[in-house]
Amino acid sequence: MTLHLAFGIPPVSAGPIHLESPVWLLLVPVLGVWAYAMSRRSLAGLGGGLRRVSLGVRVLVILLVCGALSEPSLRRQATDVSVMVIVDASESVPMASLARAQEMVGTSLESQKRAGDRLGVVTAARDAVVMSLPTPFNREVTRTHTGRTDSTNLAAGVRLALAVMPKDAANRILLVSDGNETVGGLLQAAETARALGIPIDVAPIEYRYADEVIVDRLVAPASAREGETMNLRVVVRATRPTVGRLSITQDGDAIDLSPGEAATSVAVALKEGLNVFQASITADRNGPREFRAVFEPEREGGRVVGDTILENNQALAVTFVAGEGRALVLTENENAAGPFLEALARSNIRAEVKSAAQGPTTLTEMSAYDVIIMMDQPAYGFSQKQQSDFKQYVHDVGGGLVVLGGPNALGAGGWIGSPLEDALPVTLDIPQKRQMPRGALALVIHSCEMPEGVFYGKKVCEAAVNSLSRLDLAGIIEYSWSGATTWVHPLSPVGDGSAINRSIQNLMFGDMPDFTPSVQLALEGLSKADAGQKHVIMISDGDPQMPSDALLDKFVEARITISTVGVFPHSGMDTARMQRISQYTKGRHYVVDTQAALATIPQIFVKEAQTIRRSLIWEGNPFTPSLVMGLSDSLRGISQAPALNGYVVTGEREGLALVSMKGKEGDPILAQWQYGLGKVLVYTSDATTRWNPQWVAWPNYRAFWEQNTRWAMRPGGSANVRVVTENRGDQTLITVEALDAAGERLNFANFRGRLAAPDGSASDIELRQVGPGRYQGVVPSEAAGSYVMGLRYVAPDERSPGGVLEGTVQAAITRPFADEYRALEDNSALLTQVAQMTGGRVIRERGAVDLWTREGVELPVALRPIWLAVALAGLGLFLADVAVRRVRIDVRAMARAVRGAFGRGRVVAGEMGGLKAARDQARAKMDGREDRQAVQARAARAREVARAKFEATPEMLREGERADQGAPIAVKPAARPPVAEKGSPPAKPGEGLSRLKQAKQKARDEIEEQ
Amino acid sequence: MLVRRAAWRGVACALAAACVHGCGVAGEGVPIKPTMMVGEAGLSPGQFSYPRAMDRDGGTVWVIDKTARVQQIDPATGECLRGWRMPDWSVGKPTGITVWRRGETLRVFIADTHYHRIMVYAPEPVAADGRAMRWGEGMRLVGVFGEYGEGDGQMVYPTDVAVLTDGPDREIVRLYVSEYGGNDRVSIYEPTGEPDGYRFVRSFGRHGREAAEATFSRPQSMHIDVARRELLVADSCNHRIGRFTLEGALIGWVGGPGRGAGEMMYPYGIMALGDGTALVAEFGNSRVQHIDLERGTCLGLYGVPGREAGHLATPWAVTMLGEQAVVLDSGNNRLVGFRLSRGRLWAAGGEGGRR
Repeated sequence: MTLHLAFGIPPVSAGPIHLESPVWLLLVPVLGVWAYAMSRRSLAGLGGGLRRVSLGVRVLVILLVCGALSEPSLRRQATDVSVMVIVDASESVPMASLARAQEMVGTSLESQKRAGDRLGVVTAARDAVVMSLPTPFNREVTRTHTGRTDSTNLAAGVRLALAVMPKDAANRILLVSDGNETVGGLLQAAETARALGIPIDVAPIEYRYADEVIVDRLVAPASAREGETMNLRVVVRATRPTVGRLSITQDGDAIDLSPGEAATSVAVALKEGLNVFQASITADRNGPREFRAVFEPEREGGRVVGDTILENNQALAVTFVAGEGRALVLTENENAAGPFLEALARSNIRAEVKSAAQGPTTLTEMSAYDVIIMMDQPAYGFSQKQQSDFKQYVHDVGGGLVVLGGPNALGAGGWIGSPLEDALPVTLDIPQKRQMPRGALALVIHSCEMPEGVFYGKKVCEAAVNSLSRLDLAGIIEYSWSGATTWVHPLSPVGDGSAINRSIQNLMFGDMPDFTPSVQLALEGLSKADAGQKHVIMISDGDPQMPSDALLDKFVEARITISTVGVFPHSGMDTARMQRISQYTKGRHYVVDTQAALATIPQIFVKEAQTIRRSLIWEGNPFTPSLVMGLSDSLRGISQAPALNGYVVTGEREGLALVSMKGKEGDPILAQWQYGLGKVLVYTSDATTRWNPQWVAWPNYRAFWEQNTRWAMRPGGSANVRVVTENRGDQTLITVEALDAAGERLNFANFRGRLAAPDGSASDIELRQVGPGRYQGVVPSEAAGSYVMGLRYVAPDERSPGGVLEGTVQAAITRPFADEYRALEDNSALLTQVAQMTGGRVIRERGAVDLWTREGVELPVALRPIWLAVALAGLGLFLADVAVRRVRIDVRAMARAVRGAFGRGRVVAGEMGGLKAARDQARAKMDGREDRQAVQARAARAREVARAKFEATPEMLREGERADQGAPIAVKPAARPPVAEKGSPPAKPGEGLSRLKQAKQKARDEIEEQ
Repeated sequence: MLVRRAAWRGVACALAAACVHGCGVAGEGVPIKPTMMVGEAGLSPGQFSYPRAMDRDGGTVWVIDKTARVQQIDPATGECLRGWRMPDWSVGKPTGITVWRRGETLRVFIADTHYHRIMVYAPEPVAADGRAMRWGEGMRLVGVFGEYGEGDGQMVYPTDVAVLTDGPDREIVRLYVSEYGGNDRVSIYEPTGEPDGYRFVRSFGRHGREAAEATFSRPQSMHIDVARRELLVADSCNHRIGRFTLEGALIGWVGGPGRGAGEMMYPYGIMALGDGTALVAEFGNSRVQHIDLERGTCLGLYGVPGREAGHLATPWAVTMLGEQAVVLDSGNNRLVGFRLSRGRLWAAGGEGGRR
């Protein structure tokens, strides 16, 4: 608690001065009285005038010191107004209405703005973006928005505007919007503005769609059994009666809604309000089935009739059709995978074979399979999103994943640090105990010229570094803006990655003028590095000066390769020059010249980092892996395995992971675990003949792979579970109706579920039993897209083996288009409420109000602390006070000195001679202008007296003898004081002693004072 | 006696150097005391996004930034008097601008680096009342020359244009165009007689690092020392300034790589002061160096790397507005003005600064 608060005295302002702690001023009278009291004693020796001056100075010193303690500041009142314009850039705003509003605002801004007034622009859609900071030179309000526009978050716009407002101007906000927000809470944000005293003026963009049709939803069962007939319902809303055609597709194939007609769509007449249409369809295949209903409005002469927004004319639904389990095998070499595929086929496991490029790209597509088998797949074959989806597929949807080794798989395939690594039952980095050859990687970063250069510069570094083993060496070179080409992170072991990741965050992304210093630095670092594989990755737009051939020859000599990544090169020549570097040193070259390709750059770096990751592969003489019996059902009936001569080195993962087959030094060969709702199995050797020539001929080959694949597969379950979803606002109600195998309602079941959202996030699903065999839960689903849910249930069932019924079920929630397109008219009421709440105005006409008005805003005051200046002034005066009492200024002496210096005082006879002459002159004056001879004679006498020894006179000796004999000593009568001559001061008895005492006392007082 | 005299001279030099504002000794720059500082990061008029080229025009300056926007800025207020965006910019943005004015006739030469050409604009005069024009207003493209290639009249990456006139306030008699990209050289163009028409005459220099001949590694900018009839070339990646006759004969090199006085790191901007000295904007050292062209010595170092007022970050250009030097503080997105210390009679760093 500060002092002024303790005394209840608030800060005060008077004119240009502001005192934060005025309580200190209370000390002024107290100390003033004290100073006066002290001055009566301590200043007694001074003359009256001097004494008053000294006392005044002391009081002033007290005033300044107390003033400094009270934290004084100079106040400066701002005179400018800053207007932050928030423009609604979402899709819901009709362009024509927005143009009108922009014109209206623009006219007002131009005509009423005063010099010094500032204008800033924020655009708001899904996110808010500052398009222009407040500046006096802004004249236009643009609607350009960088980001998605399929939703409206006005609250984010207001908060961002509040964040970038200048502090030295009065602030207003102008909100140009239709008021239809889909995300966030505008009223809460307005409450913040009100609390800060910032009015929000609103310029409503008013519109109303008279002719509009919305396909509200397509209702389909979330899950169904193969062969079951499903009933689809399409709900269409119309603002007035109109006609059009309705069509429904299943996985892109049209469903014939008009049997007997050429067209598959059906003509419908819509009445005002809700219209419901139904169609029946048989689930003929298992897996997810996607249905899409589309309303096509009638057109006359190419013009749409009865509808305005076409984006909201469709609805989407997904039904999961349960059937026999399916497997997906991802392999780049189908021939080599032949024996493995044959083993699955003989085991009655239906398998589709695809390459990584043809593989599933969404979680929904992955969910169609009960197990996904990756054969020797590198990480760079999949996008980051796919890798995350694989993880979600297992953890949240309950799918099975089998990862088979090979020279491009696991750690050697760049999976270290990938999203999928967490889902694997082994660690991909080298175990602490293993001694393996290591690689060295140098990154040369010049990404400042590419779009989002800072973002991608960091991303590529992280991607490369995080895919390395902890023993590998990595370093980063860049040109910093301070003008140096340096190792931002010196070539050193990656370890846990924390040090190098910190360095990545400190990258400065300078504009590298010349590659030569960077390449030279990389060469020096890598040449000294104790590593097997050495590699350099350079990223640039290719316009720095290129290194010389002589320098590149040294790379060839040292067997160090350079791969170059040319990002948006300025011309083909840049590409050719960078390509030449990579060809010269036997590296690879990549060209990234599209926005889509930009997102793949991290994958390129992962792939390139893999160059030094070959060290994670063990290859040698065949050995027989040891089996850990009895731990896993997947090795049932298998007691011995044939020899292997290679595998990818991994480490055992702590926890529930089970290693049932081990290789050299206990390295995992076969490991498995339950991960979330699903299961994962890893086989670190190869499933083809590369490292297992004897395995294919092994009698248990088929059984081995069947058992392991079936172990990982998602269980089908024998219950009859139906899932129905219903979107309610930004949430979805999930209803599950469960029957057991006998058709009885399944009660007391325990459902565990996960919901995977379109943005890659996931959340738990909680279901509660609300009736016999009926369970319900609510999940958030505000973003448009498909949500995939995986449910695993366990219920008591006497008829099931073990008395427990277990199974899984999948379902989907769809939001075909953003809520942005559901708005049929503006929401001016909300905007008006915001204006009223914050003291703003509703602006509907051009030039109707002054946007820059000073009314309703508080012009801020800038405070500049001056306590130091006040304190220094106090200190200066204190010294002056001392000077007043200690320094006597003899004006006449000064005048004489000046005259002596400039008048007759020219000293010509040498320095010492001049000084002697001056001394003699001074003495002559002091002695009443005596002649030099008299002065010299008196001086000689004085020297004689001083030089003589003390000797008592005979009279003094006699006086001493009488005293020894006890005789009284004659006392002379006191002499009368001499009569003072007229004009001379009266002599007082003991005057000399008294003056000495006074001087002593005065000195003591001054010491005490100080 | 000699020792005593040398000692006195050293003491006097140290005291005097300490008194000289803005001039560091022994290679140590000091923060400059800005007399003007305008501009900030942003995309609105008067704001910059990594400005990379600048030239003066009377009391104003023209600036091009990395969004390919050309702006005429009033340094007194920071206001953008007019501006436009280059017609093509997706491949790359210009890095050089040179202004020539004769009375009301104004030409703006822009080295459109990544389009391998020189663009010549004829902006209309600013209104008498000083009113700023609307964006894109009053701009007219009157000439384009150059194409991709390494032959005569072709360019790889043109970086700057230097304009030679036949006297003060006279007609253009010659243009010099510098370029890099493996074909590092300076080409000479002369008027064809047609309005704003120029033809290739010849070129000099090649890519290299040798000191005995005209070799360049990214000649980033040029300036003509009219009084001494010399062409100064900022040979950036060789960290030196080249002095040439107007016919292209090498006179000598100044500078060399390093951070000391008289040394340079990536000199990107050059401005001859007409008294045998020049200002050099050093991209790599984030400072402006005042050099004696004849002796190669440093006369003053201005600025240290940083973001504060008085600091510089990767400056690309420097010029003079009256008595005030103006540096394009690219990394800080601003123009900074400061005054040169004219009181120096000796070179900081002494004779050792010569390279």
